[in-house]
Amino acid sequence: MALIDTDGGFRVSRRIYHDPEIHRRELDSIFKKSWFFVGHVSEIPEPGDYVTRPLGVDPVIVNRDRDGRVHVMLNSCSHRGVKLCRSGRGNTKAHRCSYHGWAYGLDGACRAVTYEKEVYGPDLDKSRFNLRSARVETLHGLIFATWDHRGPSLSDALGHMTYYFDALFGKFDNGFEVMGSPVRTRIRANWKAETENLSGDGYHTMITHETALRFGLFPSPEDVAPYGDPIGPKFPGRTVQCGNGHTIRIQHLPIETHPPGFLGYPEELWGEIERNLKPGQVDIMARTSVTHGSVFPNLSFLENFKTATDGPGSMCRYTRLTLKVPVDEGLTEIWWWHLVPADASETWKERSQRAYLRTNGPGGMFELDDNENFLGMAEANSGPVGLDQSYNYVAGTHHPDAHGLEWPGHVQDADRSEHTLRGFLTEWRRRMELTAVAEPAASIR
Amino acid sequence: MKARWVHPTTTGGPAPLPVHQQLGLFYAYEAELLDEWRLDEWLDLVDEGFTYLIPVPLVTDHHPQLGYDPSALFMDETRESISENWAARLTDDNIAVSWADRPPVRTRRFLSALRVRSTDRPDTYLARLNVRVAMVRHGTQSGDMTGERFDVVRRAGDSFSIMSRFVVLLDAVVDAPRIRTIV
Repeated sequence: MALIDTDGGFRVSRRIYHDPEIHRRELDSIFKKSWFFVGHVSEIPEPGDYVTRPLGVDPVIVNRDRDGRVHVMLNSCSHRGVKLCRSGRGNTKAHRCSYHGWAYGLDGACRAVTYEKEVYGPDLDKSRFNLRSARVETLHGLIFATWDHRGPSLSDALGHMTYYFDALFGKFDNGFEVMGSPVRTRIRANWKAETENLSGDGYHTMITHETALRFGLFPSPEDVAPYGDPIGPKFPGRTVQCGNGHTIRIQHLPIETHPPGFLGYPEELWGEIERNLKPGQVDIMARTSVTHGSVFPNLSFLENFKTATDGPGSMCRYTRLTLKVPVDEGLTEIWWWHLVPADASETWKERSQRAYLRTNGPGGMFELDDNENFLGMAEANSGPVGLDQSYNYVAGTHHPDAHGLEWPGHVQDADRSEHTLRGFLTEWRRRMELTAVAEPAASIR
Repeated sequence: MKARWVHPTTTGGPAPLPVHQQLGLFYAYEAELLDEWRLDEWLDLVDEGFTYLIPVPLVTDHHPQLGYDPSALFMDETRESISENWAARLTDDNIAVSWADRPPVRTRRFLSALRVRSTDRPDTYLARLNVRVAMVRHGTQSGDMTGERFDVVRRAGDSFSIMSRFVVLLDAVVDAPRIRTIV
């Protein structure tokens, strides 16, 4: 069968997750060319601040220069390739190599070559040895970079996802900030397993996370009834293919709120949310239960709501970014950021962190059980028979499209669905230069 | 970024040798409870106000190396949250759907270099020790979490009670079969 076969369904060869040869192709087709999230501006607030990160799968330095501009460059000396920054975070005036002492400015320009005239003569053009720099753009404080200097802008690459990013990250006057450095973990699973799950898989939730349900970590209709007008027992959910492989799932609490209620956020910030967003974006963020999705290829975002972080009534909300960086086809490093509104109180920020860490944090209950699925996919499909099988992604193909919304993209009126997973995989196939496309661009409105 | 969480310190000197010996035994039996996933019994060893914090491991150029980011946590639990969200998963009622606990990850805790210092509170000590939690998931996937515990403990009758635990992990990349673990 083809790697992704859409004749009469949507079948995906298990090889795309577990075959080392396909993974090698992914590195060239996807991880050299996309826009990648590399950090948040609040991680490098001062001139000279730097963090070290992956860009795709290559190590980079992300730093702020003396003029406040953010640069992203390969963390590798142009001379003999030695890693320049060995720390996760710091502040510096320049990046100097430990091998022969070549030094680079915060813009990546080669500034000094040791014993230059003696070793290289009088005419060395040092600009030939600048660090390999990436193209950088920021959106609501999120820093993205790409090795592709000729490709689409970040805005063009995000397409309809920009609308949803504005709702998620542009709703506060002074934006978000990180709660410290990101955590790094590793899992023996393919990078796509969790990415496609976070793209919008609302189908697994009630099964995988049954203990979380039993323990009251999800709000029940009864929990939230006092905060609005109940509309029934069902949490209404929608899923969106934004195009270019970007996706989002939006699930609301089973209540209506008038005026819009941004439950879980400090009430003193509600006014600016409504002021900063368009009506359709307010409709996304008001009475939200959970929103999550993915920016192709490997960034996932999640904003979740917890009713009782520090006891009954102590509602809170948290925003998480995760980056899945493949080490090989069966091993993935995950970077985890927790974001909080910059203008929230310290008390609120710490409550948000507790809510996050105990649920969707790297050691939280949700991740604990999710990981069993991703590990299980890898463990059960390493043999030749397993590799010849396929996964099916047809759930929700019959679900109706949503109408009457301002939301852009292909919106379906259901979230127990694989609508977003198909969007992610369709883009994966396009990028891997396979032939027929499952859901043609024309259908992604 | 704001330094919100740092490991506990004391200016007190080393505690008497019998305290070291008694606390060493206490930790050995504590390890047995944790290795056997007897969390309900383990909860009897910690104070009502017990907190369990692990900061985010971080490599910096500084000497001496703090080893973590004091503005970020990786684990933030209390006696109550561990009782309600960890131990409760292991009960007969819940174990069938506690997917990551069935079969349980097998662990063995290796403890060393216990140092106990007095604090400015009577019968209360700062205990530092090195810990390696060796883990094997499903009998094949092995890994570990290694670090240093900073425990504040107080005497409780013939035994001790753990008031707080702060663990500084060694690895910047946490690569363990089960991250949600009492180190």
